[in-house]
Amino acid sequence: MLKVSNLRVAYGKVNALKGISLEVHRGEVVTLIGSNGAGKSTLLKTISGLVRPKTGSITFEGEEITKASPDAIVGRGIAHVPEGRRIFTNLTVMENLKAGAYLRKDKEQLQTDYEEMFSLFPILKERKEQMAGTLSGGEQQMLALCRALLSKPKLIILDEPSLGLAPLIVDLVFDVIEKVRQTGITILLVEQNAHLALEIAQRAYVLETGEIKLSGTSESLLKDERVIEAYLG
Amino acid sequence: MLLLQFILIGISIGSVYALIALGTVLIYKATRVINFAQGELVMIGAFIGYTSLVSWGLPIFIALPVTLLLSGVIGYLAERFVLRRIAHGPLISVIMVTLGLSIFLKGGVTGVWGTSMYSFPKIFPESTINLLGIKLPQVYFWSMVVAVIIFVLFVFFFKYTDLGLAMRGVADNQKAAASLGVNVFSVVGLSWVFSGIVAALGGILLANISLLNINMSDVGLKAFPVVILGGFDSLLGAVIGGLVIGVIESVAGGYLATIVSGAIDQVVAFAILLIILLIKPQGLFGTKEVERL
Repeated sequence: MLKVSNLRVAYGKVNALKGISLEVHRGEVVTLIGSNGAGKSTLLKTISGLVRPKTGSITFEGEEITKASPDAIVGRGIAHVPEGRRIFTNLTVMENLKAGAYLRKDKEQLQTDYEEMFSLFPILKERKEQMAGTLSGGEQQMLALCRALLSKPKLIILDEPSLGLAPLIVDLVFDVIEKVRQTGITILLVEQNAHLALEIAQRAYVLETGEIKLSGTSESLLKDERVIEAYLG
Repeated sequence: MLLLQFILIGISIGSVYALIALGTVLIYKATRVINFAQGELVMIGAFIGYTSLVSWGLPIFIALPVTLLLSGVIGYLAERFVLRRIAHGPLISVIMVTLGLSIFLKGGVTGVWGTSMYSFPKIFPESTINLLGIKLPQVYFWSMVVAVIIFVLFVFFFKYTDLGLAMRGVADNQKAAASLGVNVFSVVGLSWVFSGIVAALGGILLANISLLNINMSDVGLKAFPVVILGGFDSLLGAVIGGLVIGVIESVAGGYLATIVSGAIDQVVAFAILLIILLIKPQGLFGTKEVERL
């Protein structure tokens, strides 16, 4: 479904990605683990069209999207939940959700979709007229996820969904990710919490200083000594 | 009675300030850029209006849409070919570029229309209108009406249309908006188009109140006390701020000018600006950033 080949990205003279290749197949949950500064966020931004690669290509459903604009990429069905949530803090919860459906053509279907989201996240229904900036961190993460889902994506990219959240809330967020997976949406999950990520994902890539160091099924990586030492210890 | 008259005139002039400030706020909301060329957009709008009415001899109901359209185009061109080039540069450079743009536009206007005074064809009847027992020239009355209509249109646009929502999204967080498929550049371009249009409206009204001349762009400076008072990111603030500054100017000019010699009315707006910056820097209606982790 998503195919990244030999991707190189540089910020000035610093090489952030040094030739990354990876694949995500339809219906899969794939996770990308790695420590701070490994290049995870850069990779995701490049896929979303926010950062331009020096070389390499990205294809989605067989079509080249390397040079497409961010809005065109969303239009093809890739939604990105950025790190740090990036909700619209000065808009109400409901307005945030409406913004998520910005590119949707089937506006008459929306009302049912909002209801569906509210049944999934009852807290958002309670708070729908509240400014999104007043929500707690966990609620903001739910909202960001909800907002991305409303664009009816085929692939959803989650960037550090557990970042800065209390452990209990992290569990809640991962329950929700599991629910999303069950609806058949393909997920590319970037996470520092390797334990959680490997539990939910079928396959994983380990990114270190801009290169893929390891890849394989989650079970095999959970047993891999290098992974245990560096990320699970 | 005299006081009431000063207040009404203040409200009318303040309505024009409000229109001009709305343009500043629109651009600020979408891009966080303070546009120093707003006054030039006002002046150019007025000159285009003059040309289409006098030189091309168009009737007002054609001249007005033509003027607004051309002014919108100028706003768009400024964004597309100047601002966008350094959109990702440091904010201070972007703001400096708007200052450069203002000089460029003023130069362009001098080249085309020169520096002489033009008497703008009166688009409102010369008669007065009776408001609360005060005889007010019609142009003053209609300035208020236009400001109210434009404000209501914008409120409706931002509250109830998808594009308006997208624009607020861009204002709130450009990257998040882009991640939802909003084409940030078109939204920013549109804010400049709107800004050019309201500036032109303000310019036409102003030219009807006084004379038309290259120095009309100085009114752009008035937009700053207005938006600083109202809050840089608030449409309502621009309107209230405009009215307050207009009224204070008019009343101060009316009463103080007899006591203090010199153009005291020109100074009060900036005195208010200083006071607001000291006690409430985000303005009356501006948002203080609320952020939670």
